[in-house]
Amino acid sequence: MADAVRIRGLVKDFGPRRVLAGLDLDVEPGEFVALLGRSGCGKSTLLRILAGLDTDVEGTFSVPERVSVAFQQPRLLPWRRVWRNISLGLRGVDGNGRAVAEKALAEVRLADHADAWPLTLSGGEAQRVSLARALVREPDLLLLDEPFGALDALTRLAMHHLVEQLWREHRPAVLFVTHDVDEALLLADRVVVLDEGRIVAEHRVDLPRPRRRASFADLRSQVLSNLGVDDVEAA
Amino acid sequence: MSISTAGVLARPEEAGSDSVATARAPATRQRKWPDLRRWLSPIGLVLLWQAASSTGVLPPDKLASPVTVFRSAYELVVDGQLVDAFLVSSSRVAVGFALGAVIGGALGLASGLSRWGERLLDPPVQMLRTLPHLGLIPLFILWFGIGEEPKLALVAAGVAFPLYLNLHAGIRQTDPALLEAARVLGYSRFERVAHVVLPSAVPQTLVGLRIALGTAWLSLIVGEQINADAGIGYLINNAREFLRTDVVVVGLLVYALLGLTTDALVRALERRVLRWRTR
Repeated sequence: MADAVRIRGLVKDFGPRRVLAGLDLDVEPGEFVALLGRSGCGKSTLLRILAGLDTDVEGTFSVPERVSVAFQQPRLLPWRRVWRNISLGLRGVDGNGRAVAEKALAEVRLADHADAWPLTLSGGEAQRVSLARALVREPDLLLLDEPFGALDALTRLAMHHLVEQLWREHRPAVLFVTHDVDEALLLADRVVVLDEGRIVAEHRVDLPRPRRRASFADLRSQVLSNLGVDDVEAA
Repeated sequence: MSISTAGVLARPEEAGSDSVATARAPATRQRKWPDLRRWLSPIGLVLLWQAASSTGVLPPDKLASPVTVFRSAYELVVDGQLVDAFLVSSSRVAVGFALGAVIGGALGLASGLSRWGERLLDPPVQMLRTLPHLGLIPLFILWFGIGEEPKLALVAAGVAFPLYLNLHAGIRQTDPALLEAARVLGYSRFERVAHVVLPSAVPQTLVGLRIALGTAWLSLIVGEQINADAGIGYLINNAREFLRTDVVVVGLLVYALLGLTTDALVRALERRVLRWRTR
């Protein structure tokens, strides 16, 4: 089976600054890959390039036809009701938009919020709508750009569970950008560590799901040292 | 209310649910019962005005007494003069406003939605808007004569500029993050404009609409000084000839009422169109 994502020698400059310095990466269909790195390591830029938002790059990459994105901020249209936010832009559902949107909302447990205005939602609810909006497009590749970065710790835990469950049901390839090591190890099949626009380490996480934090303590120290952080808990 | 409660009021988002309830209670009570004490000084001023007129300190050829003004208003309503004048002036504003709104709206859309539209349209409009449009009267009289046309043109000019500026600014202020989201979600260009760009320009456009309506009434008042043969301006100018200060004041009150009414209409429209902001 062909790769979902295939990247070869990707280079991206912002002015004099080289953000991606010849990056190679493959993602298999249905694979959940976490991209870890410090701020400014190029991980968000990589996602934007794959989403078609940043152009003018060197190197080659290929992505599937259906690509969806969930951003760090939910980016809902505040003047459209929740169900319209999900169904707008969707092709081939003429007249059925509402039903399709309601089904997607039920999957993120927001079935009774179809008619709500986005500004009345909590941060976690808005992010779930954003997830539903991405998944209703039945993507072969789902790009998640720190989608839980702005949520409180408790909401994050619930979201991890939800994302894992949705990924199992829909099986898109996922490229998940985060700087939270635990989050990456909890969810991903493979963790890729980025630094200064290159991949500096890769770890396969062969642990049964759902995972517990205790099960990946060793791997966690390794990844943290890849990131240049000493793991005080392990020491 | 004690000082400690005032401290809670200052930071309602940190307060517990009980404190929030106590903090909110006075606000709702205030809204239910408007502070009648605020009416003391306006009523006092009217009484003072009446006293000055009754004692002859304020002669009627300078300013008629409130009682005379109300009596004249009643008579003008009964004999139909005021209603006719009201209708003529209102329709002038309505037609002039419609004209200005179409022009300002079309130009604003064109320069907001297309780069070439902006390059071609924005510079001349920005230059022209620095002209005080009321200063155009001499030109408008030369171009359009002294009939209805210069009055309508003046109102239209007063409406077109604020509407253009705010619509254009509103469109340009569209959140780039939402536009990006629309792109990755596969919106067509039409969907982007209809569901992202234009709705996000609505609040700013409504600000423009309110300014435009204010300017419309101002332009009408000035325009009706030009050889009016009907309308509130005619009523006022006619009254001036006969030193009828009472009728002048009635005319001014009607202008004020009309301005308040259209402003209330825009606010009602705002509540309806921007209901996504509340609740």
